[in-house]
Amino acid sequence: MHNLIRKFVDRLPLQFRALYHQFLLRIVDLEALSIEADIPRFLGQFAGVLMMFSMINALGLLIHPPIDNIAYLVGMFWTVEQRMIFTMMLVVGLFAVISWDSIFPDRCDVMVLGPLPLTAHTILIARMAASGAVVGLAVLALNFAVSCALSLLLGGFSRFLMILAAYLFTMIAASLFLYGSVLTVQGLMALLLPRRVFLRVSALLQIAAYGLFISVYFLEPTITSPSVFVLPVNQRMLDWSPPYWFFALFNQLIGSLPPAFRGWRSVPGWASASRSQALRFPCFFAI
Amino acid sequence: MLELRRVSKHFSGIAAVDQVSFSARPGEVTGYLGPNGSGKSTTMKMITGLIEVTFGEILFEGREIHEDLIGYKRRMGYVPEEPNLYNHLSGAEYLTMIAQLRNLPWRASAERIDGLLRLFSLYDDRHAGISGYSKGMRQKILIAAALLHNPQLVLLDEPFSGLDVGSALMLRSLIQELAGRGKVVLFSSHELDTVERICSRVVILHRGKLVADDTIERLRTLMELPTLEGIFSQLAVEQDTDAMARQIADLIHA
Repeated sequence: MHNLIRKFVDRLPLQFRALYHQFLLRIVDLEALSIEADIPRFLGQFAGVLMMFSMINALGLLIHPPIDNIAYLVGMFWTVEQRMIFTMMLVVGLFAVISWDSIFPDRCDVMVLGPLPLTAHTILIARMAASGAVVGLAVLALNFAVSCALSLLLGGFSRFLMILAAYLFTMIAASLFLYGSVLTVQGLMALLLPRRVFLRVSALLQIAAYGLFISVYFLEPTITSPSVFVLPVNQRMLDWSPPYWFFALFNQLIGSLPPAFRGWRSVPGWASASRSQALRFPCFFAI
Repeated sequence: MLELRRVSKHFSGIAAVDQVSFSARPGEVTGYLGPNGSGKSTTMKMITGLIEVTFGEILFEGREIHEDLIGYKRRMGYVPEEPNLYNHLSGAEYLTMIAQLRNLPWRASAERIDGLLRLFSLYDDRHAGISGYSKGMRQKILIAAALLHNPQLVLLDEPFSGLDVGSALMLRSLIQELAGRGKVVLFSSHELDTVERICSRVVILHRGKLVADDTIERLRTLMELPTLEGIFSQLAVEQDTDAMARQIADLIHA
């Protein structure tokens, strides 16, 4: 496997590999974290914390006394599903915050890379690959244990792979949605506002995004029973809460969606953010 | 040959460079002079392809540079005015990255990087972070990065900035050596003594317009002035510098 990956990497263009490596090293806003330049160590610690979180949740699912009460079981699974989606979105949100100033090419990039024989699309793809690698690392590290445990308990051996695929798809979609949304807001502001105004607003927005992600994570209620889902008083909150869109998406994919919940909202929401990001990113590089 | 034909650059409708035409030939060092804000660096950035011209065209070896910008950049080395480098890398890592981004063969480029680091007296600090380098050391890294791929066109924007006397003397000889090997060298500087010593011809810019383009000898003869400093003062300096110096001294004494 290692050799296969090595062969694949060696076949990639040298320019792309060099740029990807540089962008990965600078994916985190060093000034925001005061960690100097030790990004590989930081990413290792970051992955370690997420893996520990994943294992604790998996153990919580696997090690419990026998339960016959179906409603209690549903509540337990839903709690874990929602907690993992909330946490996934928090992690990706915080990553978007700490990589805020390193997402787009800065003046130094322009001066260093501008005179070199590089195409804009090589820089764009390398930059996206570096961001994707860190988001991918977060998805894998946070879900590697809990996804297996949840799939095993929900589907047994017969539906294990199907539920695992649905779970990972949901997590990747939730991550892309959030990261794409942050990039879209930031990119649109960079395009529309004068540079000086953008720099001022950007710092405020970075703090606001940090506050928003933390608040949503701690204040968002966990709904553990189908009867609570269908209460009219909760519909507005569910309609406007992206984590629940993805919770619904997962349950829709595995066929356990509560009928009253309009889970289709997740798909257009995610597609919309991805589409606007796809349009905006090349625009930024083009100018 | 590098050729600029009626090149203009406008920012918000204001001309920073206005219909500038000149050429730099292989085997010659062409000095590019002008006071602050005269448009030298803007021209350099247009020649490197960092910014686009508003009007006019820039040709290298007879071809408009934007026809094949990537191919043109492969043959160009540029030392920018400001030492923008990736501070999280060491000097050796930075040069290795530049070699990779220029698609240079690994073994040959590793030997060349080692050689350049030794010759620029950076070898002992090659693994230290660029963030800890002095201004002169950063300048040397920029020069090494610009020459790493043996470019045919060498663009130097204030290359002596921050260099100590020994390094400056070495760079002066290096510029002449590069021209002697048939490269096109365009050299922008405020150091008129150095320009006078190493440049075959000079182009002088004032308020974005070309005011002189000739050999230093011919300019001396034409303007009946013995030094490049005198020629430059007459063409591009509007104020009485001695009077201004007196006014400043008077002001701080008051």
